[in-house]
Amino acid sequence: MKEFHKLLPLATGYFGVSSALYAFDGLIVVYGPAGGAWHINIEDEPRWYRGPATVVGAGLREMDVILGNEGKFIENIARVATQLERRFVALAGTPISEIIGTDLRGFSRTLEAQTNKPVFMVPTAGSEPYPEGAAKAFLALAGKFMRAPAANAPRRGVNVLGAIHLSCGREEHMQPVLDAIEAAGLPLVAVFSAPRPGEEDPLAAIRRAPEAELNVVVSTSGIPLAEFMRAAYGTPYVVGMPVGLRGRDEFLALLRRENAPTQTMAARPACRHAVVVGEPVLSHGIRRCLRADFGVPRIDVVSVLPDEALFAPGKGCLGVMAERGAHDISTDDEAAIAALLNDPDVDCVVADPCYAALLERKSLFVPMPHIAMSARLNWDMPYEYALEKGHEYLAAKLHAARA
Amino acid sequence: MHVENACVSIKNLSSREDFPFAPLEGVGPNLAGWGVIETCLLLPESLCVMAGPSACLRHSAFMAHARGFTDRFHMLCVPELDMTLGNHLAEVERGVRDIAARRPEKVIFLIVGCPDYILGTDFTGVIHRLEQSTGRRIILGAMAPITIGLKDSPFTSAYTAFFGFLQHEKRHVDPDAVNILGTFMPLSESGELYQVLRNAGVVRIRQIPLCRDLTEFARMADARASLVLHPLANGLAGRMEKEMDIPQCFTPTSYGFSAIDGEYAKMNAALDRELDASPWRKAAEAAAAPLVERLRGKSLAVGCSINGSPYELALALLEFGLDVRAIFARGTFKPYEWDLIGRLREQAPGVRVYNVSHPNLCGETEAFDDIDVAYGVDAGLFCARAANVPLSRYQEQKHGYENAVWMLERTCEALDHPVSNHDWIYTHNFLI
Repeated sequence: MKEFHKLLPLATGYFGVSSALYAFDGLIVVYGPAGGAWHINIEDEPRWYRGPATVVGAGLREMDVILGNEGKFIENIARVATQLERRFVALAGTPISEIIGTDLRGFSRTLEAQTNKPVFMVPTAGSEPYPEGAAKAFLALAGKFMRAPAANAPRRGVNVLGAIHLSCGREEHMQPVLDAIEAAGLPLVAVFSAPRPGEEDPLAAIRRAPEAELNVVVSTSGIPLAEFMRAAYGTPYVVGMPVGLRGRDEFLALLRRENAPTQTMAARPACRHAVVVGEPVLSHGIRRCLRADFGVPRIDVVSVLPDEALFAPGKGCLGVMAERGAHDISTDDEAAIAALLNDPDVDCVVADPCYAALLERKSLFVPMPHIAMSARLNWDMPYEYALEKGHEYLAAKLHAARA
Repeated sequence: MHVENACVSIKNLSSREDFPFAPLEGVGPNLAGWGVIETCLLLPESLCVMAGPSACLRHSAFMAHARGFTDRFHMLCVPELDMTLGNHLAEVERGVRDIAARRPEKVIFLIVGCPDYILGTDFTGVIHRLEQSTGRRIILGAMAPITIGLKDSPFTSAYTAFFGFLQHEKRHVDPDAVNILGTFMPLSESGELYQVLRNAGVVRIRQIPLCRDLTEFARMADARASLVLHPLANGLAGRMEKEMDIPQCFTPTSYGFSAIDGEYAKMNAALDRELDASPWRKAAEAAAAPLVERLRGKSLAVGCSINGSPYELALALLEFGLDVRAIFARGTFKPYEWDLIGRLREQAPGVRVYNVSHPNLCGETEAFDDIDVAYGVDAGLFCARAANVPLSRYQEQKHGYENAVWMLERTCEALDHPVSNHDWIYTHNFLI
């Protein structure tokens, strides 16, 4: 049994659903007691403040669980979705709906018939990692809204998959990646999870997404959708987060389906043994940057989320900007991470600021907020990871330590 | 308008059924303070272990991190499937035993969530064995919002559980001792209530947040009476009265002079002492007058995240001759609030009462653009152009006439040096 004391348990499934769907003008109903939706909004969701009702709670009470009362909840959800003119309804499961076996799929069908709006459920509970919830939400979104392109229609442009704030932070941190894709001559078709600017219908880009020629996956939450789109529309994909200069070059080469440029190593590394803790795709991107841009000889990655999919790419995967290191681990266990961070050989830690509480010895600590860990505690912190900005941020932190 | 579905004129609010029904929880910012974990940790020498699915734990963990009480708080992650199958009991027992082995606290609150509550998991054996093996008192509690409306709130239950540390104490009635219950931030010893009590010979005054250890806490058994400043403490005070013969006096945090007059009268009777608060009243009247003048002509709104009742504050502001336009509230009325609502109905029937949890209210600010001052971070969320005065229970706790003056001073301070509602919520953590 996992014990947490100095860390927060990471965001789980229905947090991921919220993160994936929040920007698309829908009503996301967290089907559980009061409090579940509340905490997502207050703590984990920067878009909540003074925004419209988006993530709401069903407000289940004890007697509802005993008596069922499904009809009442269907009526309530239909009323709110209609009154507030939301574009779709998503039902997300919670520990309670999981335990009592609520038929959310049946709810969805009934609601769809009552409201004439698209309604879908996302089978989450309360213990699964948040990327699983986000991935299921993306698949549900795709199933509801994507339309297959005409058989002979030209395929052009790129979708970015997995760009959820729990993994990637606020949109501005991801913007350099989007800019780089467009600067490379590849128009952006859709970004999961944000509407394209200037479009009245926030779901328009989702509908068009199958027209893209390539999917770029920037966090593990996007891999299942990439595999789905490969199977359904034949869209190939690449996986990686471009961090720093070398990351940029490799990423652009991958997009152009060219060979990566020759690697150069920095002469004088700022540290000898770094540990990067966080979301797997970003953490591996940071590792590649520390190695190539800053010459750090040993970097171990602690993926605090499952990373198997990253190293077992599907048929349509054209490349992954990650390789498993001999000492990498995949765990969110507080004690295991603490043991690794306090290894006497480790002289640099790149991680969300919450992990600093685990350090028992002096070590260079580079803050890299993971919103699924620290949420609003750190979401306004100045930090960068993408491309040149990521290089500059890491350089400033590493050189400050050397000075 | 969406907002209209979320409100009622106070002239039409006579019973709970009149309050606008929220079909879904729209997540208004209205649950400020008194988390279960924080409540448990008010007891000295206590530790809190919460067991449940990660999603539930994350909520409490966030509060612990934001408020800085992580040291005495541990979490055990239990998957839903293990709970359903009852496989988690042995693991929770082992987890608590491991934590106890590393910690010095004498009391461990084991807090479980809605899933265990709904499943009816029986922890009796676990607790018995843990008490035997660790030598600590283990108290089971629930952080189960699914029980809202049917039973005592989880916070009240946790606070009431403190009775377990008093019930076996031998009671030596001390006529000069009083308990103050229901404070989170403690009342200052230099404040009005302490001074008034001491001047009347009540010199031993005990508050739970000021007790250094369980021995000091146990001396609450000797008090002549308990003064209850927050409804949260009614359960504990009730058991102390019923089972230990310690009279209670409900004297909730108030802002209006007439309400405070009434509270001192109740305290006089309960303590059988002549409490002379008249110098404090006189000084407060003098201090309040210019502050009230500054607020004339301004339109006011009151939220339910304040320390105290929003209806009492609204009434207090009306008694000062001020213009209250809106109240943001929840449908969970305290019994004593119906009298306040009745008086509001007579004095200001046009005041609008909004269900702060109603989804139709989310994102709506335009309807409140005419509000100049909003009390409570919940009211401040909707009244975007208003100066926001949190009156949070995480700020100073005051009682008596000085509380009215403090409220007015904070109001003028907010007008002179406004702090944004966003900062109160996200920088000062006055929401969770």
